[in-house]
Amino acid sequence: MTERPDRRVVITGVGVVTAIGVGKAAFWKALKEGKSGISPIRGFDVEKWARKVGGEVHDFPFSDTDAGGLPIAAAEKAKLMALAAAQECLEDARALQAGGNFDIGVALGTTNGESFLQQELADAFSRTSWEGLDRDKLMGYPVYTIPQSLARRFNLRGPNMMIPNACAAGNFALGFAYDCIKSGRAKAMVAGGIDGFSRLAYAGFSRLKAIAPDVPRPFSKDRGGMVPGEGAANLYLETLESALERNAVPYAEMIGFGQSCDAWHITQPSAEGIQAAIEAALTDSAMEREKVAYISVHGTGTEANDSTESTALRSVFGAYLDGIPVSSVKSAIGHSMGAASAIECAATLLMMREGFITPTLNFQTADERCNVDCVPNRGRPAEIGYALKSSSAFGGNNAVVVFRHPRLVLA
Amino acid sequence: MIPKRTFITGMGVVSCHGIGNAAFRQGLSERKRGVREMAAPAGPAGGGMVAAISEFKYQDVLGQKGLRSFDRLTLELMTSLDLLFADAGYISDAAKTSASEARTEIIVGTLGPMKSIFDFEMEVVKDHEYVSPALFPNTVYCAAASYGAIRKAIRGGCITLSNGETSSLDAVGMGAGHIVSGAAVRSICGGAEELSDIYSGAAAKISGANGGKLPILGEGAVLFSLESDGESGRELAEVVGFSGVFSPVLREGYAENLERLEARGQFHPHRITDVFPGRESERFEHLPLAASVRTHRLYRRFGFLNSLTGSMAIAVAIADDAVPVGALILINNFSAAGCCSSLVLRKIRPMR
Repeated sequence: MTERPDRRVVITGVGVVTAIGVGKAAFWKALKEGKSGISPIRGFDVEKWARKVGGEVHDFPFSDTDAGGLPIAAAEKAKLMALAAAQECLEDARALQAGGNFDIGVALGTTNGESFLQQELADAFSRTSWEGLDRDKLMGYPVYTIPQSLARRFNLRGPNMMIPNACAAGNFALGFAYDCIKSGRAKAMVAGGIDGFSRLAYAGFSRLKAIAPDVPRPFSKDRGGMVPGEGAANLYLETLESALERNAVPYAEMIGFGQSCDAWHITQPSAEGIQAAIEAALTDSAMEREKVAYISVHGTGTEANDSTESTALRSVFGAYLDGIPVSSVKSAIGHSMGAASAIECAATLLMMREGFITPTLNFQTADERCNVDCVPNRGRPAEIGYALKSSSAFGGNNAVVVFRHPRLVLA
Repeated sequence: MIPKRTFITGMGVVSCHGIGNAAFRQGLSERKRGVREMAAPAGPAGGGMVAAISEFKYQDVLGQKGLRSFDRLTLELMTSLDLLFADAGYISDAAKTSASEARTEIIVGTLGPMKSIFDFEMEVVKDHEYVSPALFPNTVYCAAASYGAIRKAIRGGCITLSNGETSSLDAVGMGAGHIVSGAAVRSICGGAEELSDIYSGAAAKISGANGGKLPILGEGAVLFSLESDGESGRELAEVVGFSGVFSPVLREGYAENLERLEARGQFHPHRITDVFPGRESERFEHLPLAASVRTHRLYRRFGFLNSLTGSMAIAVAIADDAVPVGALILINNFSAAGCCSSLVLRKIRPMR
């Protein structure tokens, strides 16, 4: 196998489906205004559940979506959201007609994939065993059918990858896409993350006592946990050369990717592991850490995550961290699991373009164990030259992405 | 820059021939079929033919303690991982302190923990308040690989892939790419697939509705260690190249893969001596291969291995004397929905 040609990679398209807005314009407006997407759960009956709120997407036409002729049922919410995010990102990049050969691929991350379909199948099985299960629904259930549906819909015949690496999956997918382009295996990639609202995950996190009673309050002393959500985001990554040829305007250049595994505990995070992934990303980007002007954190709102993440950031950046704003998109939309890091990358790119850092919502009281500037409750204007998106997942899987502002791309 | 070369320096196999590389090699040399009758829960509902792991006494490898919460998929994978560490001479404690070990990664291709997900959903349907928090992590696709990373202190990264049948071949391709780029110093990669009543029930439902009969389902776990050092004396095979594309028309995908590999100067298709097709019925008339190429088919020996197919093919290529030393081997895989992957391997020495 041969060494990679080391092409430069830029992002020229963004598409999102979130609890605060479907489409990047609605998402950005709501994020900037500090709108919350946390609401009473509709996806399953929560009457007997202790917790009753989630970050569900209510404004998406699941029953009335054009899947481009693909036989996708309304219950396949993950596919429908992923397709919508892909469509927007391709339109945004002016690359909707770019497919057709083997140069453009798809990489997606997820935790549960078609969780709503899974719920329907489980409910049907509990009533009728195998007799009542629909064959087409079984066929549409595997997670790999999601990136493959994007490939079919948009004729994207390059590398096709599903990385179900839980809550960091979107960043892992971006890392794969970045590698494909740098190594010359693809000219462009649609990459991102996707997850439908999951009853299974809600039950599991409830038993782990990880769900907040009302809203997520990342970095606040009185934080009570995370709030599960759902959504999708896709980014269009391509070579700088190709973007320049097409006169496409990049949101940013992706200049680094780093990964690590805590190798410590299946559910508890480790500062050492997060630190290792951030340092790997900074090394890959060949950038001094003091240049980082913004960090989009994992920021779930759980006791363990926020203090551990703060410790890791302090270990990496030392005193520089006092001058680096960090904020949590999950405070607004909940934890959209495998979609989270991709949505947060999309948010970071919009912040870089708009020169504005969105806030961490619901913040009440400072916590001495979370010694970070989390941009509490009110956003602020800022020029972001370099930004970092960190993410962590079940099993201690960490992935970090580094972006550079477009005005520095051609410098 | 001098191109880095990637070598397979060890492997751990859990298969229908039993636990361990010796059992695997013996099964191959005796041309055994691992297919046999088995009742539920591992087999199809009501019983049927499967290629299950022969005598899966994982405790012989993993010990007795701390295994209670693990599902079958995780146990298969961890057993394979322990076997690999023994075969490659790795010491997991060293990974905690050595700088180079921090760049050891694990990449696993799998269909996922279908049994754990489904059982947990059933518990939620019954009473969500009493689901087991200890079993919840098993429902996450990356749990098996993560438990493996925890067990062996693998800290350079942990990635789970789920691309259908190409998954474990894609995992080896990704690992080789990371070695070449320098992203990893050592990549532990391969796949794991479990048999269960849920898996076979779903397969029966799908194939029955298609008017076909249920394939003989197989299971197991195969992991390899990939390194760039070509002088350790442990090299079993060299990963010459990998390509994966999406192509609903299979022949176009394979042709594209070969074209890409040839364009990178990695080999000429005419030099390929051995081919492992992704499916039993696959033919190669459309590919520019020599007429003398030998074909190796796995289904009759191992059943339908789904995501594990590619890794098992690599293991057979290394361990089976029917594939001679020096052979240039093409391993093809495709998933029904369109992923299409090809890996080229050069056999360096027979497995001892």
